[in-house]
Parts: sequence; C-alpha cells; structure tokens
Amino acid sequence: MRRFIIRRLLQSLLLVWAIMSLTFLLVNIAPGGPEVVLTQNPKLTREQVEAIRVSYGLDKPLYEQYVTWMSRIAVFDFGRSYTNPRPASQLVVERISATAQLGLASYLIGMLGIPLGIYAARRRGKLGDNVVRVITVIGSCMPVWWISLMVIIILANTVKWFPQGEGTGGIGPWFLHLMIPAALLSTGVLISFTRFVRAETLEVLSQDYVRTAVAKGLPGKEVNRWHVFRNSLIPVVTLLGYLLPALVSGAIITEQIFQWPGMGRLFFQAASSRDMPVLLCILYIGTILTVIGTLLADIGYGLVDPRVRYD
Amino acid sequence: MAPLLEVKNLQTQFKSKDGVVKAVDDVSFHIDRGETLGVVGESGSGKSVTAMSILRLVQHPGKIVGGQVLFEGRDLLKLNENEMRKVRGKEIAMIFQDPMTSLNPVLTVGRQLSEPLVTHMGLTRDQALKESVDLLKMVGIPNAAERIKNYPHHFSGGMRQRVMIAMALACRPKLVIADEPTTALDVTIQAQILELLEKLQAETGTSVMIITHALGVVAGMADRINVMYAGHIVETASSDELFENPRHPYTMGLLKSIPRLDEARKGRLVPIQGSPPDLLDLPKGCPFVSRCEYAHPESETILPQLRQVPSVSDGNRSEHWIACHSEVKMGDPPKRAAQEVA
Repeated sequence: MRRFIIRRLLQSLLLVWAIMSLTFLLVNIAPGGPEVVLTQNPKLTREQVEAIRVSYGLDKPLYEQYVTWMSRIAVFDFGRSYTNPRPASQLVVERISATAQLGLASYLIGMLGIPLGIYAARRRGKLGDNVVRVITVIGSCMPVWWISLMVIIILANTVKWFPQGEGTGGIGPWFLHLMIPAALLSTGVLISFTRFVRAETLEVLSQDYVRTAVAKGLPGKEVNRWHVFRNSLIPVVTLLGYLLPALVSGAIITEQIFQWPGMGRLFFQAASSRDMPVLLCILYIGTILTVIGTLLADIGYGLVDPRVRYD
Repeated sequence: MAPLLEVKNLQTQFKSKDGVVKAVDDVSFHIDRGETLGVVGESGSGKSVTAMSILRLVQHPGKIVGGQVLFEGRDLLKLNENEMRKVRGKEIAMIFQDPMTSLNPVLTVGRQLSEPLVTHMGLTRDQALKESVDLLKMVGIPNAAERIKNYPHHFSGGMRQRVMIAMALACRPKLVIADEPTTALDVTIQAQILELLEKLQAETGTSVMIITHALGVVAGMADRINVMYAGHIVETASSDELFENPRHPYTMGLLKSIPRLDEARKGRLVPIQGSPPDLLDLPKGCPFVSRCEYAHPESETILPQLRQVPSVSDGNRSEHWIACHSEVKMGDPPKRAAQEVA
C-alpha cells in the first residue's frame, strides 16, 4: 500500500505539471494574449504598453516565460495580479477559508444522499421511493443558478427568512448565512449520491450472496449491514473522492449568485477581467484538489474492498 | 412415523404484465428423516421455486398462494418472519447453485461461516471462528486455520462450494436443500462435491433434497426421485424403480436422451421433441401433451392427477406414482409423432 501511494503521488505530480502546462499554453494562445486587459486602454501610448509588458515579463519569448512561470508556481508564486497590486496567490489564499466553509458544509449536506438512496432502494416502487425519484429528477433538470435565484427572491427578499452574503459575528448568524448557499451548492452532490446509492443498493439486493445471508437465518439488520450496505457503499467511496473538486467548480456560480466572498467569486471576477495570474492560481488549486480526490478515492477503494490490492 | 417434511398442494405464482406464471402448481411430496430426495426437471419446471418456497425465499413478484409446508408438523407458511428466521439455517439449510456469487465478496470466509453459529447457536465470535475451522476441515479444505482468514476470491469454485456446504451444515440442520449444487462446477469437481455431500449425509444423518436438471447427478445418491415438468410432479418413485421402470413419457424421454455406460451402444440418443410449454399459456390438459409420443385422447383436455402404479423393482414395497392418462412402458412403440411446437 505504501509503495502504491508513493508511486501514485509521483504520478500525480506529473499530472499536475501536465495540466498546468496545458493551461498556460491555452491562456497564452487565447486571442489577445494574457495582457489584453493591461493594453486595451486607448489612452496608453505604445511606450507605456511596452513598459507594462516588460514589467510583467510578457516581452520575453514564450518558452522563457514558461520556464520562469513554472519555477515560480512550484513555490506557489503566481506573480502580481493584473487588477490589484498584490500577489495573485495572496488574493486567492485570503478567499480559501470562505470557500472551504461553503464546500465542507455542502459536502456534508450532500452526503445525506446516502441514507436517502438506501431509503429509496428499500422502498422500491412504493410511495417513498417515487417521491425521492421524482424530486431528484426535477432537481437535476433545474439549473442550480436558477434555483438559487428563486431562493434568493423568495426566501431572502420576499419572506426575509435568510440574510444574504457572508455572516459576521457569532455562530448563529454565520450558520444562517452559510446554510442556504451550502444547501444549493450541495444539490448536485446530493442528487448524485441519492441516485447512485439507490441503484447500487438495488443491484446488491438481487445478488446471490444476499439470498445466502437470508437463507442462513440472519436477522434483517445483519443482512442489511454486512451483506447489502457493506457492498453497495463501496463505489460511493469513489464518488466521495471524485466529487471533491466539483464543490470548488460549483462554487463559482453559487458564490457569484450569493455574493459569497470566496475563491469561486474571485475566479469569476478574474475571468471577466482577464486577470490571468489569479485565474491560473485558482485553476492550480482546483487541479490539485482533483488529483487528491482521485488518489483518496483509489486508496479508499483499497481499504473497503478486499478484492482490490495495490501491491 | 410422520415424515420430516411434508409439502401439500403447494402453489407458487409469479405475477407479470402478461399474466400469472404458475411456477409451482399443486405440488405435494414428502421427505423422511435421513432420506435423500432427488428433484429432477428442466429449467422452468419449478424445482428451484419449490425449494425456495419451502424456506420462503421466493422474491417479489413471486408469491406462495396456497398449500402447506409441514416441517415436523409445523406449517412453515404460517410462521411469522422471526420464527421463520429461526428455521432458516438452523433447521433447514440451503446450498445454492453458483458458488462464485453465493458468498459475500467482502467478508472473510471465517466470518461468513461464523454467522449462523453466532445467530442460532449463541456462540461468541471467537468460539464460532474455532468451530468454523473444524467445519472447513470437515469439508476437506486443507490448512483450514489459515483459510478462514481468506476472502471468497481466494478460493476456487469447487472450494467455494465446499465452503457453502460447510456453512449449510454449521448448525446441524435436519434438512439440507441443495439447489443444483454441481451445475456451475467442472465435471471432475462435480463428482467430488457429490461424494462429499453423500459422505457428510451419512455422518450427520441429515435429510437432503437435491435439485438437479441432470438425472445422472442423483442416480447414485437419491433414495427417491421426483420428476417435475411445468410446475407439476409428473412421476415419483424410488431411485432404482425410476431408472428400471419409468412410466411417465417425459421421464422415459429424459432417460432416452442421456448416454449410458452400462449398455452397448445401440444407436443414437433420442432427444425429446419440441420445447417446454409457455408457462403463461399452459394447455388445459397435460402440459406435456404436445411433446408426448404416447398422448392419450383425454390428455388434451384433462390434467392428469398423480396415480399409483405397481412398482416392479422391489416387489411393490416402494410407492410409484405418475401423472399420466396413458399406460405405457419404456420401449413401447410411439402412438403418434410429437407435434411441432411453434
């Protein structure tokens, strides 16, 4: 197992390098190049534009820029923001906490999909199952941003049950502010878990070994716990890892809608203003989260399924 | 003495969109203590559903709609779920067809062997694990003390079936139902497993109901054989009697279609013409009528009931019953060619 993890970590490094190189290339071949925001002010003279390009190192050939950039992001230095005089990484790091709070809260809410899926599977074809299925289908058909806007209009503006923005002060207001965006951010995860767990549980319920367990005269609780759920939840471990980065990417829209001062909103602003250092820094964090999520999924799989061995 | 198990007029049906499938239709039989009963029939004849019905393991949309399953005088169909649970694994245990899928892949073999011991015999986990080692030794698995820590995927198919047998015998049940225990195994392993079952039965004195689609499997092992067709028992006799003096045209057809080593090669094997009837659309009379070479005029309209015929092999000491209107013996010339079933 240890050898597997070390090997996977080395592979992950390679993967991060490849993704970041590709991202760098894409940013640079975009029309206008990375400096378009800096240079599109019509009042700037040719000399001033050139001075700005030199100050950001944009006058050098691409391969030289790439080498400098790579050596700097290795120590988490993404250079100065184009729109703010401070370093991009600093701007991003300030926002991590807000996004992490939102992400973790919505991740926890999303995990409610596991019991919900089990419930639906056990009541297959009955009222409870149908309610869960209809709601999840409707939920996955409606875009999150649309639901979010409806919630803001109805709950925050009209009924005024919930405040907007990030909470300040005690734990009470913090929780109130966090709950609605977290719940909405979790819808995708919640629905994935629910439908996935339901399908897996139904699959396992029809397996021969479950019939064997019943034929042995085991109590229903034992059968469910050790023979059904112990098997049906194995793939969920994978999903737990894969959905980790989805929370950051999902936060881009949710944070924008709820004016949540996190990385997602910063990403949106950076993308609008072509603030490439900031953009690349957030993409870097997203890449690392994806790689870690996949690695955790693989390790988790090896821990819960004895058929999977990594040596 | 009353038989260990007596099934009376059992009816199990499956409801589907297209109609009701009468998988087991008015089936009655018994198993005595220490006896081995073979149940033979082709796929869809209702033999597995009969077994599942005894332990009430028939799953939705299947349903037992009538009859009695008397085990030591108690009607199992009337027990509540909790009482039934105490019968499963303890009084009546089951061995399933496919050992590759019948064991839980994520629990160790020792743990799975322990479960019935902990549940039914009140053993602690440690005691049950020790007992599991003995059980594995009993079914001939070498290095048992180490093997209980392994998972099912560490075992071959034959070894897994041995584990299944050990698990079934864990609580010393009075009846073991083996549902096609050798079908999924290699031929050489099949023989080993059958020998093992026979040996363990002799040692423990348990009754065995062995279900198979191959007459050869039960030939040497069963005391009595039930032949099933389309949800009915069409012939029942002692094993010797059935092979020596088959009286139902379907049984004769089965015997003619398997090669025999003890007879000179006389010619071709004769298959049974046609295919089994659609269980959704059974004929009014005998379900075998369209394939029967000896069909009686009444067979088209009247469902034959089991009737006793003289048994020749042991001077009429054992009972021989058939569900057929005709009086024919093996080797009689056919009365008509079987109709082609579309």
